[in-house]
Amino acid sequence: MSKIFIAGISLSYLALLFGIAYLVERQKRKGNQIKGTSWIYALSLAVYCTGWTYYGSVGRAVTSGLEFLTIYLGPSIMCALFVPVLQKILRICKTQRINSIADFISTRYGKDFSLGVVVTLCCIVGIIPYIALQLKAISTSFHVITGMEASVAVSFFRDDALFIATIIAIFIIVFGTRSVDASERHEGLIAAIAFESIIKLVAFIAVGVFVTWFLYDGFASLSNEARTKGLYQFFTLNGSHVFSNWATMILVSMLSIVMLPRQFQVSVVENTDERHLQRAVWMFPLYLFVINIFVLPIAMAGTMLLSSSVQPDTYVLSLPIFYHKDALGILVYIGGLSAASSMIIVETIALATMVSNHLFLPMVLSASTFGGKNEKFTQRWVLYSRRLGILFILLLAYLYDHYLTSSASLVSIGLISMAAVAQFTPAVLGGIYWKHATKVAALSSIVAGFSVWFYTLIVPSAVHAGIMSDAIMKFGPWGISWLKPQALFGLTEFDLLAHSFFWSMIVNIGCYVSISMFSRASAQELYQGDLFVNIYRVGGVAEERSVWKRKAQFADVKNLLANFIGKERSVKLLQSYAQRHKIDTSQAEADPRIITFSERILSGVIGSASARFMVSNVAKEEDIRLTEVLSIVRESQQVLELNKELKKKSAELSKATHLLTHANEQLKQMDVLKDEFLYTVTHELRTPLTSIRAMAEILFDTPDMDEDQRQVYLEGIVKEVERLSYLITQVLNLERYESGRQKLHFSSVDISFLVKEVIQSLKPLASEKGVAIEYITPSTMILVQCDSDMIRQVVYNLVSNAIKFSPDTTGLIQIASRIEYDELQVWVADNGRGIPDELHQLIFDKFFQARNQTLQKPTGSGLGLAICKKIVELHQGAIHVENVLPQGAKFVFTLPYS
Amino acid sequence: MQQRKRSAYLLIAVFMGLFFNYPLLSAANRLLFINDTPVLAWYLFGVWFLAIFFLAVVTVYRKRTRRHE
Repeated sequence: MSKIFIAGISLSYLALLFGIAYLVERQKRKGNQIKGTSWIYALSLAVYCTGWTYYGSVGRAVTSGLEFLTIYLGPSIMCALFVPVLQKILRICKTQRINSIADFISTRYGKDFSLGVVVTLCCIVGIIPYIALQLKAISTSFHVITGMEASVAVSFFRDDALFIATIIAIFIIVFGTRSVDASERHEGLIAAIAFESIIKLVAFIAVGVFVTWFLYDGFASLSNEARTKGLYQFFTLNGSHVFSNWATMILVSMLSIVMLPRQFQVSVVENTDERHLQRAVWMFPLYLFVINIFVLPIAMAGTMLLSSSVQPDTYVLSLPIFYHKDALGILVYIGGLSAASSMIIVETIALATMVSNHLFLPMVLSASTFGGKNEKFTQRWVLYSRRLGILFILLLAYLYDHYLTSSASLVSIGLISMAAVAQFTPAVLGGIYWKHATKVAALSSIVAGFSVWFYTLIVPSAVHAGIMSDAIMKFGPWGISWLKPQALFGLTEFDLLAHSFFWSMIVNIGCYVSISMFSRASAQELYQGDLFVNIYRVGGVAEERSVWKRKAQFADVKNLLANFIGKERSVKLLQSYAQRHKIDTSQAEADPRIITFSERILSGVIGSASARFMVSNVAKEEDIRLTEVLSIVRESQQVLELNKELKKKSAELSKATHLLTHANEQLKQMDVLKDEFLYTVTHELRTPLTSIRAMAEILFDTPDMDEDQRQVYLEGIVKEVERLSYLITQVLNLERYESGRQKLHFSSVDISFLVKEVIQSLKPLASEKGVAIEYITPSTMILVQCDSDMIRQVVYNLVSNAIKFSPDTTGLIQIASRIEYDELQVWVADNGRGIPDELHQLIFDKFFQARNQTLQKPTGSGLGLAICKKIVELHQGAIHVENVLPQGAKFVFTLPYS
Repeated sequence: MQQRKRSAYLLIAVFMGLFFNYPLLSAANRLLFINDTPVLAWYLFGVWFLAIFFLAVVTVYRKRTRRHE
């Protein structure tokens, strides 16, 4: 394809990115809410997938099979740790207005300049080759699609990479340095990055589908042909130290997803809402999963179909071009351009912020000529320094690409960079979980780890590239063989990366832990350590407390802030803060909290170390002793403990209140029940009493009543008195059972004998009504442990009830007892009118008959069934009723049987 | 609630670490094929997909619970 055509497409695509970024920025300026920010956030994390993923994974798959997956499995594991780890880092950064990983480490260890400088330099050394690699990926893909021969000895002005770097630099300067506040989000730019993530995914899937289903008949067919051709490297992991290398790569990539400056930029600095992490936790690994599905098929197809002279790193693009699928080729090229350019853009912004805040600005700000200038001058300087940083980074990357990358594969450079940033891990993770870690320890560990990384990875790479003599690899420095960079202390069990990672981390962690244990933290470090480690607990109060005793004129503080963020914004911010914390700003002297707040705002612009330096120029700081900071930290801890204790007490109180409310409800309910009970009892007592009184009055008023008539009335009175007495006994019994005062006297009882006794006693009543009673005697004797008197009463009540409700003359009552597993079942069935289903539970309530006047009321106290239920429950049994066909009711009670 | 969620994520991370490394990985590192596709690819992509599924379940499930609260 023609060079001009492809260049035109590349420029149009970059213009589209400009357009997306511009539109989103415009929406933001208008105050419109940008939709789908959590999706944009999750997709922007895919900036991890650079030209390396796009082209390099296939290259690695060709040589090492499925080993390429480690680079994506590591970040997927880390995603599961996003909530415990990254969320904490996020919270710290939001509270402290941190704008880069260098700023993070510097802020944690006492806002120290030296740490910021060291981390920035390490990043430049470690990451520049990685950016150069992306320029190389773009120019290589350009050469592949246009069919041009890549020439190493091309002049600067005819070099495509320089052209690409320039365009990208313009894009970053326009959209990445609009505001002086480095901690401010670049929504437009991030939206463009998210768009690029979609494009590269779609393009990679498209080429994967083409290879798998258009060139072959699916995965199986491809794999089968590779097997027939003996390409076994695609199917298993091989090599002498395969599992140690595998584990190392997983670990390195796992750490890099947090430590790489561009990942820190998109996941932390550009994050607008902590809750977006929730979506990223599963969506980012899913993205990595999908983009990797077709790597192996493309690698297999490329190996089988393309000539051996074609570089495996370019298979993704070479395959569609080889088969003259121009449209697909262009799409794939655009995908590659997306992958590489997004990485360059974000990485350059992150590095430029670090270079500007930790290298350029400290030099500029400390210059005596800088003070006293107006706000526009200062802001311009900050922006210039950041733009200068962008040009500096891209220039270094271009020079590296122009002179040094020709011999290295995409993946090897990427892994070297990842191993470099992994050196920040102890300082970062230790910084958020161990408050006793010190600045000296962090500084020493990074320097030592990075030196070992350089010696064991960069030196061998330089030898491999022919920059250095191979004598150091063969004999070691000064002939000391145990110092060979590829086999330090004689360790030959790992490959180059694993070996370097192992030694650098051993040295790094060793320095960090041991020096922290034996060095003393300054007051500032101690305070920052407490803040970082306990961010969830003290984050909220950090804004309100000011440890440092600083004195400054309010006007000076206001001017300082105005110089960097503008007068209007500084006044607005200070007023709002003062209002929130009820600070009087009419005083000439600034409140210490105002000074701390201003320092925090400045941190977002020029980094915490520079901010502290600038504030110290206008505020006179009194020396604060370590003991004072310790006491403040301790005090804050005590407050937190107290707070925790109060929360606990409050929870207990709320639980107790809930229990009391519940108990109160129960008492109210019981009160209602008691009233109801009393009403029913008195009502039930009044009925026989009224009868007795009426009959006694008749007897009293008619002394000449004949004897037979008198006898009838007297019998009536006796009967009613008996009923009254029976009712009172029942009430007393029930009360005794319910209160638990009735003791059970257990003995072995022959249930058949007991039932027969009851039947015998009730036979006259049954005969009188013409009701037959039939007892189905069990085949064996059943002995059950129970209180015989009470169970007799249960059976008596049930059988007498059955007699009452059975029809006269045709009534039939059947009684049976049997053992069912571990319980005795006794049932009493009649052929009466039955009980409606909805009353099956209610009939066991006290005075149910009395309360339901609509029911036809037979004689009885209305307490029989309630007593039965209570007795059975006292025996740990149960009682229920069911209807039987064609008519009648069956009462069943159970008792435990062992 | 938040603590339980963190524990669930941590557990998934630990399981991923175990399944993606020696010795479990070596069990799948055989020259065997299922439907003409290498068993190692099935294993790696299968475990990976399951892990993503569980991550999504933990996230979505907790979200719903919180909404109900």
